[in-house]
Amino acid sequence: MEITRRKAIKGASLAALALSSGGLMKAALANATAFDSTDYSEALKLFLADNELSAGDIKIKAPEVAANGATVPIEIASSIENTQSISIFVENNPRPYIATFHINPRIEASVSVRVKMRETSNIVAIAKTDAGYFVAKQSVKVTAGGCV
Amino acid sequence: MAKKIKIRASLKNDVTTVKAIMTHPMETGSRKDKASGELIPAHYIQTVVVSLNGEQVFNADWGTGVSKNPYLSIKIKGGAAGDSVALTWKDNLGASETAETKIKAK
Repeated sequence: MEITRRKAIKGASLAALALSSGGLMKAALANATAFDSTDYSEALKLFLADNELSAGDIKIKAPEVAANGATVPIEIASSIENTQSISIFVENNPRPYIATFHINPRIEASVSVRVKMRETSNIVAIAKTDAGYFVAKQSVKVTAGGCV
Repeated sequence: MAKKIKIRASLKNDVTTVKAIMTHPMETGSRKDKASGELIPAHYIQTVVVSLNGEQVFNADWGTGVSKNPYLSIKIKGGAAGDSVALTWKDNLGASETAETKIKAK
């Protein structure tokens, strides 16, 4: 098929329309399915939608070795300006997307929580800011996995 | 009913640290009952909201990966001794619980 300029423009505008009308609903849907996802890269993709991820100044405080994977204490603090939310993933968990904490100007961009870890894995912290998504990782060795 | 959420809020250097432990099984839905061999249905906290003097300052979305009897700690900027801090959770089965405490100065 010959691609004429007219056809190309029509196609592009239709695609843009479909994107904009479905965008909001898709964002809400994506969040629910990202939690259900059993694959880290899929969960991450659903979570980020089409946003890029770059390395950022996020501190993860977690034990190097966790004796009990059922409850691994972690603390995450973002030093990036205007952090809107902090999300946690555990790469090797059956459901890697753990949680999202919504930060607003009334609180500090720092949370502590305990997570389950099936096996040795990276903990991935993602900060959403008005300048995009930033990530930091830390490996935790698990000697006895939690039932997750 | 026994209080199932333990919550504390302490003020130090103009920052209120809120610490809470909720009582919840946080079932993932993929664990099997040892006796019957059947899957235990998922039962976990999905949202947590913290408010200061009735105004929401924090909320979180959780999946099944948060530990059983979840612990959460956040830091609120400011706050004064005697202010009330409340935490509410809701789970995937529609159950919900709230606990409230007053900020103590350290």
